[in-house]
Amino acid sequence: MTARAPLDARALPAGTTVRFVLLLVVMLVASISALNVVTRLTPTAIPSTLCLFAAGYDPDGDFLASLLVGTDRQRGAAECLTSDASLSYGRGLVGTAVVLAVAVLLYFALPGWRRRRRRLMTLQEAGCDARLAEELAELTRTAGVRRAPRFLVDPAALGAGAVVFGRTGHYTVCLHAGLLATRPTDPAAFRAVLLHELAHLRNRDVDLAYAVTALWRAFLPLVVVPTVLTFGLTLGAAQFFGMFTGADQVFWPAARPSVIRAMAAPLFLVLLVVLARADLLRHRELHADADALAGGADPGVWQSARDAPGRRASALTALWRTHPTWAERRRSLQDEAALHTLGPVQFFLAGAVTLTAARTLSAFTGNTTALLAVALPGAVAVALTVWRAVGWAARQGRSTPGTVRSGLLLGLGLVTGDLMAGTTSGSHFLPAHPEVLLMLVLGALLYVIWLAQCARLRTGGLLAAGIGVAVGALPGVAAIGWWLRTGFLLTAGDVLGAGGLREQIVLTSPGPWEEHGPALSLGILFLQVAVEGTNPLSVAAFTALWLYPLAHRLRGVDGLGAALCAGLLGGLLGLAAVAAVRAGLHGIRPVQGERGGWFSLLYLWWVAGALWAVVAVTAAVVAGRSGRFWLLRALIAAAVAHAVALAGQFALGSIDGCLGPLRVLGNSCHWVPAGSWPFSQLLAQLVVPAGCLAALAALMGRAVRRALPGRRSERSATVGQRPGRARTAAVGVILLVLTTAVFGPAAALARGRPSGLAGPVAGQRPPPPPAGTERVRTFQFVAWFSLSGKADVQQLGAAYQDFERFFQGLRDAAETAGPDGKVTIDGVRLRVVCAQLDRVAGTALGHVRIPDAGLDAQWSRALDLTRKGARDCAELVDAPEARPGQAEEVLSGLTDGYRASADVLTALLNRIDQARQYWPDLVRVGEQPTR
Amino acid sequence: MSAVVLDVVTQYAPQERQLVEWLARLDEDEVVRLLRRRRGEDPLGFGLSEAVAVVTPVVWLAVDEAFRGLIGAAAVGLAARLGRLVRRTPPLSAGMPKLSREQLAVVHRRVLEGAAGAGLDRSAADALADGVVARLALDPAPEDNPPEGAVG
Repeated sequence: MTARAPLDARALPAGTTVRFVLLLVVMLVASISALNVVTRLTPTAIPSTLCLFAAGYDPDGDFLASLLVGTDRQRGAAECLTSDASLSYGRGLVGTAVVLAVAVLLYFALPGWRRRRRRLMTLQEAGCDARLAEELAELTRTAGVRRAPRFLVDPAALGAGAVVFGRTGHYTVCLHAGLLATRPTDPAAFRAVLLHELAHLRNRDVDLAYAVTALWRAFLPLVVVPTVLTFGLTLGAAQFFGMFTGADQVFWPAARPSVIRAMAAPLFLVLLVVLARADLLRHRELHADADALAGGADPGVWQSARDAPGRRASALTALWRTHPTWAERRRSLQDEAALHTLGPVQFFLAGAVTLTAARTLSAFTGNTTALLAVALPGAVAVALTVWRAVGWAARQGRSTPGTVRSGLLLGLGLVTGDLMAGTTSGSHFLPAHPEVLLMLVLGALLYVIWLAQCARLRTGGLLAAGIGVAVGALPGVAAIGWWLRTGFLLTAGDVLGAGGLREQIVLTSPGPWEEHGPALSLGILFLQVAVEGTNPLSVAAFTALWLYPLAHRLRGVDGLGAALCAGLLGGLLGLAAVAAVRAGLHGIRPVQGERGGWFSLLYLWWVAGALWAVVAVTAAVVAGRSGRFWLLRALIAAAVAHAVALAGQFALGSIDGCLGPLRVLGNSCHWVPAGSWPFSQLLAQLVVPAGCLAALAALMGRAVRRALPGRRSERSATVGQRPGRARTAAVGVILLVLTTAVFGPAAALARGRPSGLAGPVAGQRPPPPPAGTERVRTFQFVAWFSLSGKADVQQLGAAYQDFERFFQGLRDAAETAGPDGKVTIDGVRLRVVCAQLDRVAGTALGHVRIPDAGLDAQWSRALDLTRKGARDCAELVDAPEARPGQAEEVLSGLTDGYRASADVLTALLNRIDQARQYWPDLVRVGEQPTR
Repeated sequence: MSAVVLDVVTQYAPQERQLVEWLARLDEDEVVRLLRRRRGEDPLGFGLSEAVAVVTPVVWLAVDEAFRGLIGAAAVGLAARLGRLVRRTPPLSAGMPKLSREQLAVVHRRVLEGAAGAGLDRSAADALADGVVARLALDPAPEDNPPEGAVG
């Protein structure tokens, strides 16, 4: 396989604009989140917080337990938990609008403020001659700046430099007095400085840099300082003085990691923004230098320039300087590699910024907005950077160094961003399964490698590269989308397993599952990942992974033929595996008529497992035997193998009954494609995740190949890489993949109960919440009482008071009855009393359960008895004919409900009396509920 | 005061004369603030932060300090103290007071220190300090009569 027609890297934008936009977005997103929390310091005043507690939430518990709160189909809980979701970020949005308004004001005011503060003079005021104006006009034309900027003089700037500033459409080039002083003696330096500054204007660096600066100056005092101060003081007061002022004591010490994270997050963001802005500005300086030189500047100016004393930057301090050192600038002018090679720091920053902002934004706007506003620019920035670097390297006939390092750092950035968002960490600093985050590292590594290989394939000009970048961004966006939707949940553990998926399968498809534990585990894994197989974005991204390189094969790039052949072979191997599964299941198939349900599932999952194994092996072998396009070839081969095997499986399934010892579901020989189609559809849903597995297997195959002694890939041989170093890197990758596989999602998913039969079943009554501290349990009860308990108790009490009055009336009537002893019952009134009891009990049963198993059982029994008695009563009254025999029975039922209710109401009031000592404000009986 | 600086700069660093003329148009407090201000990296600047004009700030700041010391010592009244509190620095009058021998020695030392800090070699620093002191010791030129050649 050979690359052709290298792209002129400078034809592609550098991606700086996208990265600047990403910085603006990340600050705005952080503002919404931080201001929302800071302005809402009493979580107990938030209805959904009370709902969470009422439904059994324990702040000391883990994230997985909190995820399951309210998922037990309690109508009241679900309604309550979502009641204020749309309002919960209103304050943050308003606060961010203020920040944005201040930033806009600053953006317009900063240039004027700078002019006044530095006492800048116009050229006329400075008495400059006409020749200077002419030279400036000529330089402006040379630099390609269409609209001439305003030139001012800084009389107190004694260096021989200049600076540009301003806002869109109104730019100023500020000439330092020192520069003008040395102009007569060093006109070349004057020209070089001006061409450099004008290049900044032409490249639109001023617009972006000052937009970020303006937002930054609003963000720092209005968001960062209040947030850090608020949470810092809260933390200090709680930690050292025992006063958790941020919320109720019930949240402490569980809230400690959250408070520390809330305080650290803005500081971390400050660091990210400062580093990313400095990195971008350094990059723009190098471009401005190159443009100045192209405009005729004297390179000797750069040669003679020296860093100011004390400017010897260490690797660390260099990170936040806005200018590269002069040595770096000279190197960049001699060799443009610095302009185009992959900068690991920018990959780390892109990853961290993207995922922090995406996680935060998705929490209140949903995933789509987060993907469009954050993930898309992030992925485009990464794809552009890789495409430019590879395009330049190809043009120079060089390799693209740093692909692996950049991929790993992108992944580390994603991990850092995710940890800072801390969504799944609950009351801890780390999520329950931090090892799952390794998936982000591996995914990012594979993504950058894939991008680099695709960029090497590209042909044609700017349009082709633009299409390549657009297609290249797709898998990045899709991967972040997956992580935002379901991927991040893996860090909390087996969410679906804990939610009762295994039990649900056993319940709905009963069978001898004890003998098929591995298949059941496999099936649960497939069910979890199959969701992605139907997501349009994931499908499009998966298609791009192999179709883009395949399309280039069709346009003449050599070397993909072998991959296609390997794919066909893999497909045949897949068919053999399907046949083996059939042979294995043939012996245990139930009698005809009982082959649906569990047996069909067993067949489906084993076939899917066999296909996955074949796809993985195909990808690993092809990658191990390929050269520099190993990942593309592996993905194409895997896709072909999967397609061939799926088609074969469909054909075999259509003639199932004709297959003799390979028969699974059929008995008689017929062509029944309609019977095989549903299986094929389900298997097709697993194609996308299988593609991810293929990529991982390819990486493993490639690493194993490079780690084997005595084998050197042609790439390391051609570009002179040190084999020892390559081998160490390969071993590192193998360990990374193995660690992820063993401790990552596979392990988390396999941790389910082997029998799969114990535990709760969805739809049934959930287990009582785990016993927390007395304070937490009491607060849960208080939350229930505040939300619905108080109203229900009061209404039930009032309904029974009516009933009691009615009953007392009967007793009085009986005492004054005539000689026959008969009492006439007021049917209309009794109907009203019973209807009220029925309504009140029904309403209470629809509300959140009491987060106390004993009390809830009592309460539910009382409500059930009340409703039954009330309905029997209504039926009696409504009966067309009199049923005197039933009256006593109905009254007895009503009395049972009355007694049970009296008992539980007494218990509830006692409990609330106990709670009053902690939260007197929340449990004032007689007032309206808190909500 | 700018006349003193201009005379000295014209003699010892004529290429900086234009700078002094520009600075002379600003309020003297402003000039001192701007010259004392430590300049960091300007985003989107060229990156040459090292001063190429070193004589002007050394002379200006030394002369400014000498005059402020004199005026500060003279202003002992309550009103002057209040004025200092409000303005932070005393105003420089148009006229230049005569400096004593001790005061001239202080100025000499300040110029030497400033010149060393700016990277001037010892002989140049000595010459500059002598030049400043000599200029101050001479009959002062009135502020409102700028030297010949000054712009504006």
